[in-house]
Amino acid sequence: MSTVAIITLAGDLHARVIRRQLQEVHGVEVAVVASDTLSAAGGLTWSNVAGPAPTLPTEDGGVLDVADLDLVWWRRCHGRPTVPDAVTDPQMRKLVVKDNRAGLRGLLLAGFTGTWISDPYATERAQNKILQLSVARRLGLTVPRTLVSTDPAAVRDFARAHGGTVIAKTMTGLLGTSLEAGRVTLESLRDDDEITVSATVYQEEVPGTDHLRVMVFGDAVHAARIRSGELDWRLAGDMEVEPVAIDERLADRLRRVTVRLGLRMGVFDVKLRPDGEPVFLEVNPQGQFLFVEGMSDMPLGEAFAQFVVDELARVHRRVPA
Amino acid sequence: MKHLAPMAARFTRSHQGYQHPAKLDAWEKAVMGPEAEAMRWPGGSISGSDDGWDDCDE
Repeated sequence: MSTVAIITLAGDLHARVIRRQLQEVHGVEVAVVASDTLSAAGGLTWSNVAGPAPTLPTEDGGVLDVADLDLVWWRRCHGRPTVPDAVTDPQMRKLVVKDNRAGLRGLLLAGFTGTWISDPYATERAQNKILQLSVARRLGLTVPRTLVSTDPAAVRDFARAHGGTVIAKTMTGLLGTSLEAGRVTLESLRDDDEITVSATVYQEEVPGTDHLRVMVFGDAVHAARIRSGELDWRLAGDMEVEPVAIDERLADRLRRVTVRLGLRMGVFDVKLRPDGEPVFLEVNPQGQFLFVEGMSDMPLGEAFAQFVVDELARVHRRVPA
Repeated sequence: MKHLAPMAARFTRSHQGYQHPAKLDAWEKAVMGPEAEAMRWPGGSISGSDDGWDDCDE
């Protein structure tokens, strides 16, 4: 019997749904490891002398033997880890978090020989928006004209060249805080300090109301159209979501971006211009997809479970990616 | 002292800002049962936010 581990944050809906689907429909054993509650959980062990096998604690209080694993879904490994209140020194609290994180990662990197969805280092690397935009463009996708800068003159010139209004968004994100994309005007770009304080993504605005959320699971591509008048559909009260078939050329390019970034899966945000041209905005290496099922009834939980089963078959056949 | 924030702070909201359509709310409750509320970000969806998953701070 195959064994799968989902590394994620405690109480993750995606992990619960996929575990249930894999266990009940496909007969695959699944353990969930909560990467943010490792402190005081016990059960994390690795040794290079005879004796204890490498193990990790599971979210439900059990212990997982890493040698039994065929597949790891590396879903969420950061978050806001819990640390016992008794650790009062802020520096020591940081150390607790860092050491547990290093223990989890090292134990899997050293002792796990199956397949990753996706490799931890590829996942981190692929998160970078500059890299994403560069790879997507190189592989033939249309991308917005973009400036990432802390140079006030360059930012103002860019805004001027795009009619005086551009989109500004962050390079990364913050847990628990919505950092939406927003419009900035040339007139509002007066404060040099606001521009120089941190690298920001400035982009031409892609017109239109139709967005695509495209889930690339291995070779399978599932697309939903999200229709909203809002610039950032996450904040849209008028959001309509429905499954759509996308052009095979677009699907193939998104698959190639996923592969080029070293990923086994990717969740893409694409915007459709009024002339129908799809414009790549970003790829989330471990993006959320079950809200699309909730909004559209697309069976994405089963699609992902089938993807895992296919990856397991590949592991057992030892077929390289 | 002057208070500075990144450009994107102009557009910052808590997860209270996220819309949580009734259809999604019903689906999450059907899938997760009573656990759904405990898993939810304040005011937001539990199946839809990609924000900050790489956030490294305690």
